[in-house]
Amino acid sequence: MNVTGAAPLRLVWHNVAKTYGSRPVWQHLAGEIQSGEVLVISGPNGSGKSTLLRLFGGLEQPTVGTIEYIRGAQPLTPRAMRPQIGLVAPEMMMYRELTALENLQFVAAARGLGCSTAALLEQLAAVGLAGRTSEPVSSYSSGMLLRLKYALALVHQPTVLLLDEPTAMFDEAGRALVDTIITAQRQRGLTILATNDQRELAWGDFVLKVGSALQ
Amino acid sequence: MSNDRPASQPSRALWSAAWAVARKDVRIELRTRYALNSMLLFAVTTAVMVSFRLGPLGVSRDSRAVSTLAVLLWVAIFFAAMNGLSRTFVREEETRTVALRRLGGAAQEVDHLPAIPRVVRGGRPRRRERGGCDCCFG
Repeated sequence: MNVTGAAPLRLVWHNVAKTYGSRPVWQHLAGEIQSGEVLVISGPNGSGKSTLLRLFGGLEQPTVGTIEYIRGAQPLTPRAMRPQIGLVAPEMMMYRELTALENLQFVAAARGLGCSTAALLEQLAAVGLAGRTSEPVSSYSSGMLLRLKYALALVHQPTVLLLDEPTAMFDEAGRALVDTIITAQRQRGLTILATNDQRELAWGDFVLKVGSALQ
Repeated sequence: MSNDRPASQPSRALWSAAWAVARKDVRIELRTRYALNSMLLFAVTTAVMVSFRLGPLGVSRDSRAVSTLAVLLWVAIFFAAMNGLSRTFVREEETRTVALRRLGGAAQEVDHLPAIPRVVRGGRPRRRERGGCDCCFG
């Protein structure tokens, strides 16, 4: 389903493999999802879930194989795709010296969005940070930091939302927030989660199991 | 809040992103003062070392001596600026904020200074053979 009226976006990956040095993470991965669908990547620790998510986000390249975003019949270049991706990941950190609002203002400006302060405050309120927007991020708890990551990832209304351990620091209210976000994202584009949490597996239309456990 | 950016305005997006990065860096620097302090220390040290060589009365007012001092001043300014610039990039790596910026649309070009002139002229940045911007999203 796509409310924007544009042709549906598809993510197609073919014969994808990733190797670090001589150690293969996984190989021969292939599949496809499209707008409105949710893919869950699952596997034990060290199996390369986050790596695959980073490949889908374009932050890394596969050693072998291709990963393509296609709208209609038209393949999209990585450069055209990058502004359409939103990422929430443990390794993605914010500027701790800045406030939540300043972080969001920076990301919005760097993405070339002309967002008003009121709109950004509304975005922060939507993830449950109302009233704490002028505090330095260094004073935030883990759960608040994760909420801010969601605000940063959603500020440009991405058509591709990538979530790595989406509720790792969340309480039940935070889990409900993610549920709401994923439901909304189904209207806007595609969602990919990397997780091992059994409750989060239920969010996916498809589950991709990768790799083997750490030895 | 749309994510559609007109392809015909690359330079505007670039300058907007560059301005956002600069404003963010200045704001952080004014709160931490790491680079400012090291640049100040470098400037003071350079001035003291030069004054040791020239003595308390300085140099004569002939044009060659004044030119030498002007060159020294620019050298000191350049190295102080480089000192501060490198700290900015190192801090981004150490605090793991790079990914936040790499996914930040036009901000990517701001990190690749050699690509800027082509983008400002309205052209695409030069394609890199290995690991460049067109090979992956990063």
